[in-house]
Amino acid sequence: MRIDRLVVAIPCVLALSACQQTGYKKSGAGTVCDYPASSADESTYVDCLVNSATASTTQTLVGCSYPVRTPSVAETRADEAHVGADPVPRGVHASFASDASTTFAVDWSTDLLTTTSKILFGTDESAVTAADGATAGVEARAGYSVAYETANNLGDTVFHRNHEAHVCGLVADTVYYYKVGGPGHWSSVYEYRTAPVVGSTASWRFAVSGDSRTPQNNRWARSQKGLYDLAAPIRLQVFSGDAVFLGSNQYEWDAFFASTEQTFTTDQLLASVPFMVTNGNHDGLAVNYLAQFALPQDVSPGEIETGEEWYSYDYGNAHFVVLNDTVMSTSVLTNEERAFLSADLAAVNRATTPWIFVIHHQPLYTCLSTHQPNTAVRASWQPLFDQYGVDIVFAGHNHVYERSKPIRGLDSGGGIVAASGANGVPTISGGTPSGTLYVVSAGVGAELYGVSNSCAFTQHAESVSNYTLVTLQNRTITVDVVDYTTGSMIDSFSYTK
Amino acid sequence: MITLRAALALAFSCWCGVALAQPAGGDSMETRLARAAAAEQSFHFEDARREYAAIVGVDGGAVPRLARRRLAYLDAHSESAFAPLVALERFRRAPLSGTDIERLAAFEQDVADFPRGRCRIEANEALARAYLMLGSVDRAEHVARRALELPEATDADRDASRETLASVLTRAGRSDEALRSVEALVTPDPGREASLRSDARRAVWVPVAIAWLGGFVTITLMVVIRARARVLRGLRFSTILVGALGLLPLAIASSYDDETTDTFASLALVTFLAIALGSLLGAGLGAASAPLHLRRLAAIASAISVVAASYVVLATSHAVVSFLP
Repeated sequence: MRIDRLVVAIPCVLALSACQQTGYKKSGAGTVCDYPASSADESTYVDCLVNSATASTTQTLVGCSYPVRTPSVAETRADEAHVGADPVPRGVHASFASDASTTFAVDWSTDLLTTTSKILFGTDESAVTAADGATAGVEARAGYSVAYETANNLGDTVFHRNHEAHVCGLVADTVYYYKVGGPGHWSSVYEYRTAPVVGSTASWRFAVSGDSRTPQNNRWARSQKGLYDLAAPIRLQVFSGDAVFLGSNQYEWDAFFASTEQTFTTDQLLASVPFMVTNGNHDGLAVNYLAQFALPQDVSPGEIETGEEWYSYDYGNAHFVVLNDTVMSTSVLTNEERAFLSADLAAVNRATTPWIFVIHHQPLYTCLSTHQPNTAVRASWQPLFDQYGVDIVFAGHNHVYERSKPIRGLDSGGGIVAASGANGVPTISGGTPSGTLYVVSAGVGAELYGVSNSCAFTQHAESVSNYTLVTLQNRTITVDVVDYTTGSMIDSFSYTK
Repeated sequence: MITLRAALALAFSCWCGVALAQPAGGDSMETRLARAAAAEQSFHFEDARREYAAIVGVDGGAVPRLARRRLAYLDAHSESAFAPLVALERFRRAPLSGTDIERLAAFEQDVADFPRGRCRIEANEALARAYLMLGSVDRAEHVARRALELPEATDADRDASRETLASVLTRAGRSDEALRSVEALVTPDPGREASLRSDARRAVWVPVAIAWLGGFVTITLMVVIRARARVLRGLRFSTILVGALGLLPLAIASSYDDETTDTFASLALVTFLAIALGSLLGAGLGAASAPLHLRRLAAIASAISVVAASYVVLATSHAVVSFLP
């Protein structure tokens, strides 16, 4: 049958075109490269990097007690004095890799040949602004940088330099000012406020967002400007994944960290409010993702070498667990990652952190949208959410807003809707909510998907650009969901436990 | 709910004051900022402006910077002593329910009386989006077009209205008009344009592909029914090959995530069926014993069918199809 041979190539070509939706990182092995003697030798240096690979390294930075792990990259360099052609930091963004009340970390980019990785910080803004090094009221810390292979906007292979610095030993709930870079080429001065001490019952607020990838009409920047301009500021932004369309493309990451809306640039918010990210299927745990975010790094069995694949932290009176549901093997989800989740939730001190939030990418409950609910993960993780009384599970993946009714228990793989009060909030018995709320809050850029209200577990569903604001005041939670394109509130609920 | 939120805002503001306050003779700027935020929350915008104005003269620091941003916002929305802003914020802060169409109509009447200014622009935009959300496409289109005509609107405002209008028109199935709306953006949105162009093309080609497949299936079945015995003999070799071809996309899919696997699985199924039908058609025609021109015709028809079936799958799953319409 000649027909078969004639058409054999067609499905293959079509199939491969669909592969363009995801990207995968490359690994290799080679030698450590010497820093070029002059900028004229950069091409030789790059040629060397092509064949170079540094295994994941672990270091302890001055003043910090926790280990900082780097991913496998072309090279890792300690803070040096080398300055390239474009040393001014860009895409500055902050997070934390340990105790949020006493530490923070900052990442930024420069040209490849700049290997100066310093941070100056203090509580006196004018002193930090004027400083070119450590001085009265201004402290300096050395960071490090990594170079990794990535793609640019033309799809060409290039090497990118990312810098990271950690600051420790800070005072809780205090505003610090900082700038990064090196002598003569510092970034703007940013302000960063450390978290309150764990267990603090003072009111505070955080934002949830996700799926900024391929932002339409500048929506990512608009969403961040909306958060930046809030009269009652957020202290933390948690992100449910898919920051970019292709995780291995640095051009998209650069746009993510420095998008503009009028006079606002996203780094104004991202450098001032800790941005705690989750891996999405489009981020793909690419080296760009691993290198550019400083996240808690306790390595647990089954996890990647840097320990940033899944993690947890306390902030004020809340405990956050961030999970990765985009893994190559489902068994990791249901075994090693589940074991981490179980141990982590079991260790939560509900007296100091009565609120537990889980963030991951692919929703366990979503109603007739583009992606179906991840039932395998639901079967594995939900029993733990039920057992430990997780309050809200935030996800993305479907570019919509959805809120479930309270759910507790499974029946033939489907969630059992628990008792609820007005507006679908859980009823409270002995301080314990009747069920967990599953919220999809995605769409700070990506094209919106359709969604339905017709599922039995659905309380609210809208196809709308949105972010979610969560205000905690001791044992009262208020959740407001905002269409940032108009400022209109999409959903709002509150309860006390 | 409003009462609870106001209480929370007040508590939040009080906390801000306590947490940030520094010793000072009078009220510290942090206390003033907290009071301003509470005033905004309770729609007392003149009070809020007064508090912010008392802070903005201070050099440096997070508090004065935030105060300056908020003051700029309030100044830009201060038409008619904040009356329009109060109405707009009350509208924004009350989440819509499916039965709120009357509330939208009432607010639309209010907006018609708004004076020129930011509130009128933003109210129209919020209204259009709200109508769209509640499925009132006609009203959404009307309001979005009206927003485009506002003389005080900036290019950015008009871009937002055009974007909303494009969403409305897309919902109405008028993708050509939606595309024109996006093409008129002052700040181009190539991604959205490409997406709408793709939608417009797909709106034409997907039905064409489905019609072709319908014809192909019908003709194949007719040929097969007429020559049942010959079909069975002719399928000796092709059964294995067809199975292998159909499984190829599935094999590739095993390396990818669920999102892409769904596409691959569908692709595998339709290409398998199309190739199988092609094999049946060839066998029905008599394979090597059939006239050459007939075999060539069948081969071409089969190839087109595989492309058509694959195209339908990829187009409906929004996969990347860059080399086809």
